[in-house]
Amino acid sequence: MPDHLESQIVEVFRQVFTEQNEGGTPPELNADSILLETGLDSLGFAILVVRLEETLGFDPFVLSSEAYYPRTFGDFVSFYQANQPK
Amino acid sequence: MTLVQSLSTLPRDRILISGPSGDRTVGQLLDYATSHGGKLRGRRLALNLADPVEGIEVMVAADGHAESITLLPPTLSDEHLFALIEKAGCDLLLVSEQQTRARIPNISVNSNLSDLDECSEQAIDHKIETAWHLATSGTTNVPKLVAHTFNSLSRTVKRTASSADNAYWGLLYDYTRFAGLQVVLQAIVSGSRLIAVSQELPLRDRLATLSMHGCTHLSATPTLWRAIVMTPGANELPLRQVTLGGEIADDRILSTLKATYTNARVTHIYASTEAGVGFSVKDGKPGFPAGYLDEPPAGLQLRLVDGRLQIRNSEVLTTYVGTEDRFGAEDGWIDTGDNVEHVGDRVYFLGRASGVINVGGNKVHPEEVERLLLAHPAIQAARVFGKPSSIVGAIVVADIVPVESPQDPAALRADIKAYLLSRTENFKVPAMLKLVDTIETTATGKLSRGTAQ
Repeated sequence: MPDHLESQIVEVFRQVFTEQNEGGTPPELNADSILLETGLDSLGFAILVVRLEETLGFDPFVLSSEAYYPRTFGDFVSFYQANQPK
Repeated sequence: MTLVQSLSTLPRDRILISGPSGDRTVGQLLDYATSHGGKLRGRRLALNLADPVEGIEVMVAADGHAESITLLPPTLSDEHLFALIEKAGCDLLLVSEQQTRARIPNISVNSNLSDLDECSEQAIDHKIETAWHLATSGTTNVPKLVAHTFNSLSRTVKRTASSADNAYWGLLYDYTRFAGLQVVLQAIVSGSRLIAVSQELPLRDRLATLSMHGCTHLSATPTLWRAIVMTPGANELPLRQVTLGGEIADDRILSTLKATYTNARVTHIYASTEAGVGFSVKDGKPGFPAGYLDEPPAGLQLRLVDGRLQIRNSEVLTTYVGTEDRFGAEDGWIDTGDNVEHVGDRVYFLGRASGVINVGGNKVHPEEVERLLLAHPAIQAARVFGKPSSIVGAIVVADIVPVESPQDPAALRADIKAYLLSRTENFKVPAMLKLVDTIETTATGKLSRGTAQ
C-alpha cells in the first residue's frame, strides 16, 4: 500500500517540522518539493529519518547500499517504497 | 618563510581571491602588506573580521611582523572573545564595523589597518616567526587556542601548482578555523584562486555563486556534502577535487560524490586544530590504509594505543596558549581521542573515546545534556548517547527514568523537549527520548558509555 506509506511519511514530517520550527505551520508537500528547502535543515532531516525508523520499523539509508541521497519529496517517498522490507 | 615571501614568487597581476567585497590580486595583497605590515611589528593582534577578503589581507600583512595573530571566529560570543583575547595577551583587536562588540579594557580596537599609526621602528626590516593562534571548536566551554606557525599550517600545502592546474578553490568554511584556513592557504600559496561566498546565503545560492566562478576544488564536512548533493544544481559544479573532513566519511557519501563528480578526485582528510593535518586518504574508501601506520603519507607519525589513534606533531607546542593545559606529550604525541578498529589492511574510525557525539561537526558532551535533563522536575535518571545517522553522522538520543510513570508519555516527551530547546542549542536536544525503568551503570557507578548500534 504505497499511499499508506506516503501518508505516514507526511504525518511524521509534519510532527518533526512543527518541533524544529517552534510550532510553525508545515508546508504542503508535493513530489517536486526540495527536501532541504521545505524548512528542515540537515539536522531536521536526520531526525525525520530516525523518527520514520521508529514508526515504520526500517531505515532505507541502512538497508540500501546504493550511492544515493533523495533530493525531492517524491524521491524520498520512492526511496522508502523501494527499500521497504517485504 | 613568511606568507609575503611565499606570495612574492607569484605573478603580481594574478587574481588570488574573489569575494563578495571584490577581488584581490597578488600585487594588491603585497602592496597592502608593504603599506601596513610595519604597523603591526611586535603587536599581538586579535583578528575578528567577518569578511574573509579583509581578513586574509590582514593576515598577509601581519605574518612576519606581528608577534602573534589570534584568529577569532566572527560567530564567537562576546564572552568567549574576551576570554581568548585575555589568554593570548592581545593588544590590538580588528573587528568589523557592523559587528557590535562589548567594550574590552586594555586593548585598542580598529576596523582596519589604515587608521593605525606607523610603528616608530619601521625602518628595521627583519622578519620574525609570527605565532598563529587558532581556536578549537568547543561548543559549551570557552574554546582553547593552539599556537601554529605559517610553516606548520602550510606544511601539506602544495606550493607549486602549475598554471595548467588552474584551481578555483571554493570556501564554504569559516576562514578563521583550522579547516577554513587550510583552504585559504592551499589556494593562495599555490597561486590558485580562492572563491569566498557569503555565509548568510542559502546553500543553493552559495553553490550557484561557486558554479558561476567555475569552482573546481571544494572542501566541506560529510554532513555539508550530503546537503550539497541534495541541492538542485549541485551537480553542475565543475569539480576536479572533492575534499571531506571534520567528521567520519562513510561509504555512502564517498561513493555518491564519486558518482556525482566523475572528473573529481575524492579525498578525505584527517585533521584537527591540535594535531594539524594528519593525513589524507585518496582511494575514496572509508578509514585509512593500515600501511599509513608504518609510512605516514603526510610526514606526521601515527600509532594506535589502546584502540585510539595517536598523532605526533612536533611542529606545535602541545599546550594551549595562555594555559598549562597539555593536549599532547612533550615529544609531540597527541592522543586524538578517536577510537579506531584495525581490520586487515584498513583502519576504521569508530567515534570519540570520550563519548562526545559529533552531530554534523558540532560536538556534544553527553554529560552536559544529562545535566540539563536531570534539571527537569519529572526526570529521575538520564543517559544520553549518540545514534548513528546517515545524514549528520550521529544524533543525540536519551533514555530517561521518569520520577513517576506518566499518564501521557507523549506529552511528557514534548514537554521535556521544549524545556531543553529553551535552554540549549537544538543539535543537543535528544531527537528521541525513551522512557525506561532503570539505567545501567558500570561497576564504579558511572553510566555506561558508548554508541548505540
